[in-house]
Amino acid sequence: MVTIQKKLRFWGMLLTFVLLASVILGACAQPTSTSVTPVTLTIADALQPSSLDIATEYEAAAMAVNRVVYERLVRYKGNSTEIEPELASSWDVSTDGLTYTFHLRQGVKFHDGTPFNAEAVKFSFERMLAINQGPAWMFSAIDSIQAVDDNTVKFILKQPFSAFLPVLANIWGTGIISPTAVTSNTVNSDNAQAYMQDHMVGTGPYKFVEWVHGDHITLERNMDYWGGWPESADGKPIDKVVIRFITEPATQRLTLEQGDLDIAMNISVDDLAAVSKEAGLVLVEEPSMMGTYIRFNMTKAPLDNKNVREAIRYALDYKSIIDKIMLGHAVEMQGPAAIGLPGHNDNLPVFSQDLQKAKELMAASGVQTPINLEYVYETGQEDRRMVGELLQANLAEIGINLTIHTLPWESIWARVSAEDKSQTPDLTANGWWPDYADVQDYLYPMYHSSQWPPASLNIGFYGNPQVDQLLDQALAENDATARNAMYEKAQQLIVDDVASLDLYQKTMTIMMHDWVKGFVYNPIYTEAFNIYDMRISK
Amino acid sequence: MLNQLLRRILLSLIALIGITLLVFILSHVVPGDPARLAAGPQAREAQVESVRKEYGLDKPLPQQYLIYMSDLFQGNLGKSLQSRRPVSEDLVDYFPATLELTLAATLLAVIGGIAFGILSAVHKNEWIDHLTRVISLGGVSIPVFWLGLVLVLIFYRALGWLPFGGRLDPSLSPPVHITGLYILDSLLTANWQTLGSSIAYLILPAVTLAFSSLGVVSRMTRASLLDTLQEDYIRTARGKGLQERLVLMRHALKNALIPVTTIVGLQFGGLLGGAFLVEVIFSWPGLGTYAMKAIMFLDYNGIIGVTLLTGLVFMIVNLLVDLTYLTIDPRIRAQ
Amino acid sequence: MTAMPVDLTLTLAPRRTYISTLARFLKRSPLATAGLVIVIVTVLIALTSRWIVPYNPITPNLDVKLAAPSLQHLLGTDDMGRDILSRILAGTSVSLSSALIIIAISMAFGMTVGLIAGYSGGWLDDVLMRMTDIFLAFPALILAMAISATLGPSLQNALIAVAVVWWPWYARLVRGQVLSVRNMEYVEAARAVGARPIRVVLRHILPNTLGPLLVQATLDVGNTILLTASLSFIGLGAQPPTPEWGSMVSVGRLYLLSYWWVPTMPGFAILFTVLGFNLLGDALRDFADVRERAL
Repeated sequence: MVTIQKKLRFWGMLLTFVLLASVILGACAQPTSTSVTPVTLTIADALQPSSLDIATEYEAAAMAVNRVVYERLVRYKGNSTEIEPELASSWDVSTDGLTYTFHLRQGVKFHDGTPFNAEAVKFSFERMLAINQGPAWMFSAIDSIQAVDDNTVKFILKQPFSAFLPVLANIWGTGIISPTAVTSNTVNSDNAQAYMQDHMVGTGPYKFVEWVHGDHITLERNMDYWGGWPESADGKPIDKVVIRFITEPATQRLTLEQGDLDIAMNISVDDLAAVSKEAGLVLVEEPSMMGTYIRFNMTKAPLDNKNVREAIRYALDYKSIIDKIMLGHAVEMQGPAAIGLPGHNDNLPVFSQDLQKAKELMAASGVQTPINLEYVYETGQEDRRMVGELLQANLAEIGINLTIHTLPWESIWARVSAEDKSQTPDLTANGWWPDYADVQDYLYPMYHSSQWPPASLNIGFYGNPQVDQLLDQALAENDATARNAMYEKAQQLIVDDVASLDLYQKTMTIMMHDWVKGFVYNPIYTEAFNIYDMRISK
Repeated sequence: MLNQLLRRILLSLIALIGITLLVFILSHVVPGDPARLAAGPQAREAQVESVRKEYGLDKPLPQQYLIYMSDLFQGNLGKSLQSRRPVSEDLVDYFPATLELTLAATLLAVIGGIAFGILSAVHKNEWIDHLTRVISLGGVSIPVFWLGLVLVLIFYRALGWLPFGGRLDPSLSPPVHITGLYILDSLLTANWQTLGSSIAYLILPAVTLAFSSLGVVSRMTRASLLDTLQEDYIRTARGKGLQERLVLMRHALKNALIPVTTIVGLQFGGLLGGAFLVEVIFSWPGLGTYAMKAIMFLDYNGIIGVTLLTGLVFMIVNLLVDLTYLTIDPRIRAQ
Repeated sequence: MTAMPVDLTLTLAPRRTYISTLARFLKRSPLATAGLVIVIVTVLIALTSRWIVPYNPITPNLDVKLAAPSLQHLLGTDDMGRDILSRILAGTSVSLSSALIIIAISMAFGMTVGLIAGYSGGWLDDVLMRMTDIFLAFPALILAMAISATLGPSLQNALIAVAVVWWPWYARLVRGQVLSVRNMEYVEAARAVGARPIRVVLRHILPNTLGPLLVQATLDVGNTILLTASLSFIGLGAQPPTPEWGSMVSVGRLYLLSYWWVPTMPGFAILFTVLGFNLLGDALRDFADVRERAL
């Protein structure tokens, strides 16, 4: 047997050797100090975009790259909803609100060297409208676009559209793309969709380098940027941006703590307190306009009964949601539109739990308890799971049995847009991120009766002719005060009708190392960074 | 022997066609409108219709399947609804990561499993045999996704010995794409920096994944070795006074490992499946990561593509194993 | 996840000797005894969990959210303030009943197919076996994932998916058994006296396949618990707030770093239970091997 043990020692040695070799080679991986290390900003994001094509992408995941590689005619300024010039230096609006004329910045070049001009603006918008996907719905008011001369472009609208400038400042569908890059990569008249899926050619301060699918996107500094690269006391400008796709919040936290990341976008709220205590890590927390709400299926008994809906409204323990589920990293919504949006009604009630009232309302409804209801939320939205679990316990108090289902968004959409409304869940949790800075972006798609699925996101099938009329009028009204009055009235009516459970607006929480300077959060550009203005000081 | 091999290939092809039909039918029975998702939540009816046309979703089911199959023979797996690219391109991008992980785990499982197997066969019914039995059964019993979490906590967080999160140090660019396996590509291009980094990043996920199969391989090696040691020719060899070590290595092990090769194929399938879970934990940009997103989007073509590809790979591996088995087993070779 | 079909012949000897041999076998093998004990404990917990849980496993109690293990909450609490021990205990019956349902479905279906294929032979045998090939041509988890993804996420659909993946193993096992006894004298004799095929199958062939099936089923309890938990882990299984172990780990991985007990404890429960069934199944297989050799 002794000899056999020797044999075993051989195997053991082999194993040890393999492991050792790996570890040694692994150690070599530590970058040997090269002469010039580029200043790199590494950001972790849970979501990977499905496409980089400015004409089709319409998802938060694409925002970060989109904001700095492409530029728009106008943009939101700093942390506000105010509009300022970007590629347009100035603009005029005709008195009838039908013609928008933009005077363009001169001497700007695309990353491929193509000069930027009015034709490029016209080309970009026409391409996006021709492809007619994703963000195209926001631009349906456009009738035609004219390149008046090299530096002037005109947008003619079909009807007055009061939110046109805010729409042009939004991130989706508005970026100006290099016409040469599109025409030279067009295959079978696809408008270069296949090529632009994986490439970006804009005018912004950063150039697209590569996209390793499932892993990361790399951008590099555009040294020829028209805005130049001013010196800053904050530190050095960023040469290289790496956006890593890390789905697990715990993995993001781990890699952030080990210094492998500069910024983590998706640390779970339960970890924030612990992480912010660590030396060198900073929690950036800003109010957002991202609303989370629950919609009632108003076409089906018993939720067609307003008393039942109102009973549910009073049964829910809002305070626990804000304080114990969101741990204070959210504020309760006030009405159906996000607080902070121009046109929000600040006089609406903010609800709190009142079980006594809820029971009375249930009794008044004449509905026989117990009743069974189904709550549906999108897979992966853990806060909505917890809300559902709490709601389940709350509703048990007033004789309602709630079952919870988690589904991919596609399945939820299939069920809410089914012709047979009995397929639609009784309660559907959803969230809405603002596209552009106007309450219209909340109210119209979610509460106008023409917007029932599949047309749009009125997933509770709410319909009130008075609300419809107010929303239609406001859309065409150019006087801001008059418009806001209409919007405020509409919000009041929606709350009175108990069309939804308006839950909360999560605050934007971003963890970063303290060497990252100059970050400014804009509540409309929810997941995007102003990397051009950011500096690193190590 | 050639007949047997041809028969196996034919059977595998039938199975492959069967599975396309199975998954295709399943995925198209589900209520839902993938065209609408691709067009965006606020898309107008006309936008949805244009997407529906583009993806061929407006045709009747049997026709969609026929289109799918004829495309399949041209290597066209349709367009992915989540990435809006041809599924085949997505698979080319994501598969090498999964293959590298699975191969590394298979290698670890086989080497480690055989070592453990020998150890417990030699010390049959001693404490060391019991210990390997517990470790082996533990390996089969442990949820791989949970083991991954625990190993990360220990080796990345507490000890800081090994890197984690992705395939490569993010400050490095991937090696020049030849095979897509980072280790191999780094070797071929003599890029020592990426070689070291990719090996280091591979260790934790590969060990996590290998653990379950290590147990199976070691049990199989033990059983097979014990059987062989009872064979007449071994007794003869021992009787001739050959050194025990020589008996073990030259005669017993060689023959004992023949049946072990057959389960390597089966284990590879298990590891391929397990890799999907491990990828989630380790942010490994492979097919598992891709499949998770396809599931989130109910991306039929993506799901079918992943299932088909893993099936194809599993089939090829099993064929290779059969071929090896046919070649090395003297009993079959003699036929 | 990995299925090791038991491919051996075991004819049932008179019951008394079988049991006494088994008892002697268990006495010699401490690991098998450990497995048996774990299995018995698990089954007892599953049957009595309703009465033995210290807290309600479903109702949230947000005041004690994410509390560390303590005397009040031995294994801590989860993100809704629920006692993790209570949830694990309640989850035992979820996991065990899921496994039993899967095994019952796949055994019933697999056995039928296996019996028909083995007894009839010929082209029908060929067709049926090619069908099992189709299902076995794919890694179990991936096929189950594809099926349950298309059916939609729910525990029920996950069970269907796993059963769909699992039955071919039983079909093959039973077919093998049938082939080995089909031409035995007593079956031939029954056929010769004109017994109808169905009677031959049920009276003479079926009983002889039960032994290996039992061994396989014991091992499969562990395998199917793991597979179901894996599906739950990727969000395709149990729905909240069901205390299913896999989904508890899945949700808990959010809390891995600051509240390690949330994902860790249910993971131990899976490990413990599956290990128990594997120890027992492994021992039973050895036992069957020994008996086979002895015969």
